[in-house]
Amino acid sequence: MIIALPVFLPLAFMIFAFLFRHFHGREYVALGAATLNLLVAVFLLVEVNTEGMVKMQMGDWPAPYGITLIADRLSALMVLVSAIVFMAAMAYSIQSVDTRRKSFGFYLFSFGILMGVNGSFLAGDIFNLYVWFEVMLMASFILMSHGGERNQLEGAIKYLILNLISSFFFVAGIGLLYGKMGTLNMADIAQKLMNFETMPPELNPAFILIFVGFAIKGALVPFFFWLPASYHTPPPVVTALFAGLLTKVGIYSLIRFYALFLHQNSQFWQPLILWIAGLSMVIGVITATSQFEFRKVLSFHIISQVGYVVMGLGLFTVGGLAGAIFFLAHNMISKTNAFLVAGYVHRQKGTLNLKILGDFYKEHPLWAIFFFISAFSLAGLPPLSGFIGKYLLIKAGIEAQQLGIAFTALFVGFFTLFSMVKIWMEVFWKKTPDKIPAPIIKIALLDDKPVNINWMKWSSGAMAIIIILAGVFATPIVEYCTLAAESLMQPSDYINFVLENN
Amino acid sequence: MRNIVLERIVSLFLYVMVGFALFLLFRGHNRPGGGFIGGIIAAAGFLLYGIVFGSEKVLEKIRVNPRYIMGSGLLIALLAALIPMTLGKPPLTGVWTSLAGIALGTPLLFDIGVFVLVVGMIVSIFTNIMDVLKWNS
Repeated sequence: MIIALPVFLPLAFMIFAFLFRHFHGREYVALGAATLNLLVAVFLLVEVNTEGMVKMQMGDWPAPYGITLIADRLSALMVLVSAIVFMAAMAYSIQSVDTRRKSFGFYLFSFGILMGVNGSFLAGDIFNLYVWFEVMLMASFILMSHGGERNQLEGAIKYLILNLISSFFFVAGIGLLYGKMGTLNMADIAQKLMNFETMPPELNPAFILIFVGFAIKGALVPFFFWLPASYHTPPPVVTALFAGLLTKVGIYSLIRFYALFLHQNSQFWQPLILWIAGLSMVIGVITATSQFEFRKVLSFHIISQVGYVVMGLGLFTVGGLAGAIFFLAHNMISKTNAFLVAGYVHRQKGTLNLKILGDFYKEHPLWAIFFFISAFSLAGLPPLSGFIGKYLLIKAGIEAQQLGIAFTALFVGFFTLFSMVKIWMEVFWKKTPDKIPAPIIKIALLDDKPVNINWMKWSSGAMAIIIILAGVFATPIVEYCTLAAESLMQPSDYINFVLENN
Repeated sequence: MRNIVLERIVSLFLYVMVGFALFLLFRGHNRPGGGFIGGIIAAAGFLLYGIVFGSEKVLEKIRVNPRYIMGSGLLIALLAALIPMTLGKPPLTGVWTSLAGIALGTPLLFDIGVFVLVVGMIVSIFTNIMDVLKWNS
């Protein structure tokens, strides 16, 4: 039963938000619902860890005909990490989002995103996955344009159009796949593919279309344009939520597809995916170093870090996949926290231009430490969680004899460190420059009455502590990721589990 | 300019459309019809009414804020998913009872939820667009 709750709980909150629009404690109800969601995710993880997999057939229709919700170790971990990210964002939003946005459904659509994300992680049917993508796209488009400022609308239009194109590719691929296979249940398709010696070439167009759809969603190299064009425009907490959740869903789906279908044609897909991974890492990090806006630097870094995850997938060994899963989880938390700190800087200084900012360490040392932890975790310094992720990936790359990609990953790590140090120097360390006229500091989009920022501090601090803990006590997490990777490498368990009728 | 004939016909036609929508809703389980198409036809009736009388009159006619209609539609659909769970079955499983020879079940409840949601959604969209266009004759 518990596997249905990550979908129904956000829906129940959305109904509440529709019916009690003027309820004043809505922030706290949202935080409570996010906490409940976290509890559900923890229980789901425990249950999956003891039993291996959990499934539920919607409407009691048996597997290839009905819609299956299935959680294996990978999906349960993803649901848990997105619940942590979401809870931090909800706590942060209490004091960082203005009342006008709150009463126009900020929480309603945030939970729409949560529902779409959880649904995508649990979907066992390709069309169902597409529907969850659309739920997520609509909710995120509204949050992106929410408030209707000029540059925000510009970002939202780019975001919507490019993501609609991605959906178009995805659904076209689904149509072709259904025409050839006559089923859309992932396990059923994988089972039918196993009957062939090699992948039938008629299926390649469908898989390439679906791959392009996922690559746009996941912001991989030739298709990443929408991300840096739009992520710096909405309110900070929205960006933090998007950075933590949205691209990761595309990457998760790619991992699932590769493990179930594409690896059967690995002489075509493996070099392609490794090339895309390497190019994403390099191009993302190099464009990031040339930016002079706090959130733009971080946005370009998303592309580079998504490249790391795809690199682990491209190796397709147990070690590589375990590293990819660990890195994905680590990146969701560290990235969100870096954006949360950016939101606080914006609130205090009214700008995020690196050239104008300065002195932040002297004024707010605690926030400087939060940024230090998440940024240097992203750069991969021990003992933070990013170090473990990069170590696992590079080790797997060397073991798999893919020295080129392993050294690219090492080399990109230095550039990541460089641009994080750049943010650190410009925002936190240097003196505020005198000659450049200070911007008119307006506490953008906030209510007039001064509010204390304890909720913001607590949520960002909790994320920083999680980053440290995940780095120091990494052993059980790595073991869990290795188990998840092993079950991904053996899709027959997944197939039999979905298709058996009890 | 008021057009009395048009106004009389449209205000009668609203009831015809809503009645036909309800007919399609209840017929939809085994034959063409259902909650979505019924909801669209009912909303089209309100749209015709709105084109002639303006958006304020539509909101007067349905009396409830469309936001609450959408919310209750979702609530009804969620109930249809949750009722089977209380009986230990997977969500959205059809649970049937019989009332005076008529079979009633959660699929009907789900369809009603979709109907209400679609009506609320479309009315909310077109009244907002009419307000932006200042379409209040």
